[in-house]
Amino acid sequence: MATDPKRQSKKTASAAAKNRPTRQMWTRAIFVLLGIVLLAFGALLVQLVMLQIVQTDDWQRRATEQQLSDNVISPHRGTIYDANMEVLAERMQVWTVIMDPNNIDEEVNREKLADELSSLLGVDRDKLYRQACKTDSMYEVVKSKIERPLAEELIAWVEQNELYGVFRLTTDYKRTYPYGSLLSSVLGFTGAENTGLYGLEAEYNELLEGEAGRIVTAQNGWGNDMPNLLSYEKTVDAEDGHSLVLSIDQTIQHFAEKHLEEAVANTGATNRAVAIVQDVNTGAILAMATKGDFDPNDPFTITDPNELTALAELAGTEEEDAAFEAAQIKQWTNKAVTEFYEPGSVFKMFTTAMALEEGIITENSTFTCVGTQKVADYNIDCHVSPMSHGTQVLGEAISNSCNPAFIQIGTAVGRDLFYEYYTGFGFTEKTDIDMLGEFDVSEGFYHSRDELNPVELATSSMGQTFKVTPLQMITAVSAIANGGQLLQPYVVQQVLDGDGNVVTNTPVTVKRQVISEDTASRVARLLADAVNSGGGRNAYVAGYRVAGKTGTSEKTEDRTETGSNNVVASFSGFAPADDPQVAILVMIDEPQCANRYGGTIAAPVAKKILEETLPYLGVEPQYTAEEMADLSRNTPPVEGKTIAEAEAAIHAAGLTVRVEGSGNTVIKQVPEAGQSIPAEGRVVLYTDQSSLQSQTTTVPDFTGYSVSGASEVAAYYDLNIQLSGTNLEGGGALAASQSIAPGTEVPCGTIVRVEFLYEDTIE
Amino acid sequence: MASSAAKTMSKWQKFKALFYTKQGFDKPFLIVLLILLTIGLACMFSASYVNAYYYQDDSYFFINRQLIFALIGVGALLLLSAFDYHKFHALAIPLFAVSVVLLILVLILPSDDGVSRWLPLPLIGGFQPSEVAKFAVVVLFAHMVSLNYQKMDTFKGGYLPFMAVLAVVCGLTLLEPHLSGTMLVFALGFVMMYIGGTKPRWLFLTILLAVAVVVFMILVVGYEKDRIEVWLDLFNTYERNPDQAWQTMQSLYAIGSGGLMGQGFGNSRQKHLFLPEPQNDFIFAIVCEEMGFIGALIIIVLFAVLVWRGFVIAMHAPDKFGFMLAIGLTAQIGIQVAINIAVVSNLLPNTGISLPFFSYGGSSLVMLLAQMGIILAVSRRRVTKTS
Repeated sequence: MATDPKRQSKKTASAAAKNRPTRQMWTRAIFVLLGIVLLAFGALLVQLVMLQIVQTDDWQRRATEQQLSDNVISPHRGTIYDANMEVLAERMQVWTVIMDPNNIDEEVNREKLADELSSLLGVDRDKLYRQACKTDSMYEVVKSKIERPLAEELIAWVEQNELYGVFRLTTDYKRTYPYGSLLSSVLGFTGAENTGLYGLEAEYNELLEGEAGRIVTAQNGWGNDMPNLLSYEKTVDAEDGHSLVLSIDQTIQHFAEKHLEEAVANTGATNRAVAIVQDVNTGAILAMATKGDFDPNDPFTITDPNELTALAELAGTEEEDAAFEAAQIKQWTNKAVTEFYEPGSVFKMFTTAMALEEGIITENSTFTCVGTQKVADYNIDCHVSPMSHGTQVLGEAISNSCNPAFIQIGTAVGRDLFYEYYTGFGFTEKTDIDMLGEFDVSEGFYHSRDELNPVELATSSMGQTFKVTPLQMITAVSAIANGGQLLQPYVVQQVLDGDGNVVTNTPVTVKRQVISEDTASRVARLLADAVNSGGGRNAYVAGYRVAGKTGTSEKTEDRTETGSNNVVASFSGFAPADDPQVAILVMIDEPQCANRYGGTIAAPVAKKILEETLPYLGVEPQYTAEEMADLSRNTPPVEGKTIAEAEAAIHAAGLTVRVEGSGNTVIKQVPEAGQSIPAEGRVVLYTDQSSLQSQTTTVPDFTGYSVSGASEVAAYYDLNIQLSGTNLEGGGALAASQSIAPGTEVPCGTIVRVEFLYEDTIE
Repeated sequence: MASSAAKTMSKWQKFKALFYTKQGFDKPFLIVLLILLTIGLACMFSASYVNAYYYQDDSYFFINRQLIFALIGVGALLLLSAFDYHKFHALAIPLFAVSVVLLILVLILPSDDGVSRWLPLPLIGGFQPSEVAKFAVVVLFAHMVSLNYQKMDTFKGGYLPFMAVLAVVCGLTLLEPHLSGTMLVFALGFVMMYIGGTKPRWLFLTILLAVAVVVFMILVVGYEKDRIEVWLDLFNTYERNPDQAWQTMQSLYAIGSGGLMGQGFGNSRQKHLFLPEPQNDFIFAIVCEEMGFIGALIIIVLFAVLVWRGFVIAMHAPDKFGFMLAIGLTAQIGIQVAINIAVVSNLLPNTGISLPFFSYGGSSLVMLLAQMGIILAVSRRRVTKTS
């Protein structure tokens, strides 16, 4: 065992060395190490550089997109108000009914559910049943936009049937028009997405709509908010839509629509009718009505009875759909600005105005009518032909609406001046009203200066062979009424922001002075006379001097089956003539009644509208003595009669009645029989002693009131009033003294005589 | 002398002798390893707490478990670092046999979703037999190389037996199916064969064949078609079927939105239920999002240092067995890191491979640390020029 330790260790060392990894192993190990560290890790680093440095913006944007929830806050659509801030269009909260069929219990009878719910919501029963059976669905829209009462009924029904978790109501908004069809042709309507589709809703859509806001929040993968550390919330508030304040007064609009609708019904007009009321001093539209129109709450339903009849005839035919669409578009169209007509004799006021302005004629000029007028090679008949008007002064020619007279005037004015004034009154341009769809007549709807040869000049002078829109016409009429200024009409008086602050206020825009103030007032006087005595007399309103002109124009381009032409009957004018406030236009297109003259069917509509509008606007009536007499009524003797007899007698006399006490016969009447009191005055009938004693009133102080004001005060105090005064025709007189001292206790119905004097004589 | 001494030793002395070493282990390796482990645990906590809160009702659910296993793992590491790694010669074949049994067992046991990768295990919850197989292959190959190194350049000695082992393991893992596990074992086996001395041309031909087979499987059989689709055509697949490409896309969102400097530690947004299971295989995406490219670079460099250090240890090993063990175990770390990050950044199709020391998983962390202990054990017996 004696081995050399040195050798042994060498041997062991060599054995150990032999056991060591070989050089090849080392080399290969180094290759592998380099492969892993340089190649593999290097590739990773290159990829990370790409992702984290080169493309980082893109990835970050994508990641942010999913990490932020972006919710739209829809803005409130603005309200549309009338001139007195009455709401004409506003948004209303409604609900959409969502069903989760997946959540309906097995034992629920789906047939019964479909039966009950379909009748409750008014939806198709079979469709609802199919929806209820889609058990793999969690979201079925049953009905959208239901209103509060129905939503409450639905909730009650759900509770009653214990269908919790099956139905959901999601909030939505819809446009609502509280006055229904009132002003519909001006307002227009909105579509399903609350976007304006027609009328002001469409024109001012961008303003009304406002701007949607957003809430951006950080969310996790489940859509929940991130914890505080990472929370992020950014809100861009929705900007609520602006509101519109119209110049239109819903009360006047109501007057206009009420009477226009009646006229359409009475005349059987087949192409609708228009009424416009305008403030002559500002150009503001106070009312603008088209009948038939539609209900903006349900704009797609045809409402015009004529159209419905026509559609019923087409039912089942191929044309039905097209006809239905045409009828819809027709009822949505605002006839006052979008359609045009031949004005006829109404235009004669402008022929008069230009001739007076140019000094070509005066009120004293005379014109001779022989029933026809020869112009170039044509004979143009007067409307009374074969009779004739003979020789007339200007006023008579207007009252007669004599065609030869106006051909003579027009010819005297001549082509150049006629065209100058024709253009001046705005008949060749748009009025630039703030509404959509204004018809542009410049595309060959009138004679250019060069085309105004003698015949065209003659026919144009009497309002024929050219077309205007109703709005152009009333705007020109206003120019005569306001002293010669052509104004730009408008319907939106103010735009309010979401907080109700005034953003814009529409100013009065004078386009130009067309005629002098003097000429304007001379024309006004002539037109007032025409209404007092001439063709416009049906527009006469007691107390208000109405100036105006009627017109009836034949539609030569289309003939009815009987061979006679359809006509457009119209009246346009203003009141009061000596201090014009409002202009009015009534146009009835294609009346089918026997008498189709403007004076017969359009003027009365204007009268009825003015009769209500002028007092509403606070325009003081100024009665002539003649009118005053007309207004007074004599009280009939009714003492001793039964109450029924007495009431009948008093109503027959044009008075109103009030019965006091519980007796059967009249024991006393106040005022007593044979007294003169204003029409619609009140007679108080006492039927027993107790009532006689109890029913007294205190006489007020009438001093300083106008005629109409005093009448109102008297009515309030249950008194009757007897007007007296030297001359009340001129207007402006105020109550100066009264027959019973203020503060006296008198029985109701007692007559108080009030004396009126002109203001300057009081002070 | 040594054997006579052994005869006179008590049992306790014999046991102590197992851990007797002349010199200390390689400190740089352990330091880098512990740095990586620490960073890994911190990142795992950051990546996991949202998921833990929402799915486990406890933000600390994953980190608490991971910390316990990390402690156990470090214990195993220290224990094994003192263990005489030569004893693994005897364990090589039994270990391999056990892992094959486990791989078969996992295929036989019922699975919920058609994927059988996990075996249930009390306390730990479960482990992947492929983890054991990986280790078994490393040990077995080290054993085979050190015994047969003279015949390594022959087909019969240096190629066939190794391929037979790989065929068994890879075949079984493919059946699970566990593509990434298969790839890892395959790559690991080849690295060891190459370094062990197998002729590169056989390896090269085999790789060509394997690529051909894989291409055939993908194109004709449609194996893992969905994953391949996502890999090749991410955006369109995401458009068409977001679920299919979800994890990869969310991973790229996270990495990309990290930018150069990152969102800051703890500030990942993608871990808030966007990226599924951010504590597992895709943890590196969250690391990239929070710490940016700089953070990712530092971590990759640390892994590179660890791998470099592991190879240095191997090259100083006193024998071929130690050399091959250290090479195999180190290469495993390097390959796994490379594949994991490549998957996370969509350089490779999405497979299930975890990031060493970062991804959540108790059994795998313990195994990894124990294997690092073996590398340290090799380092204790290093041969230096001075000695």
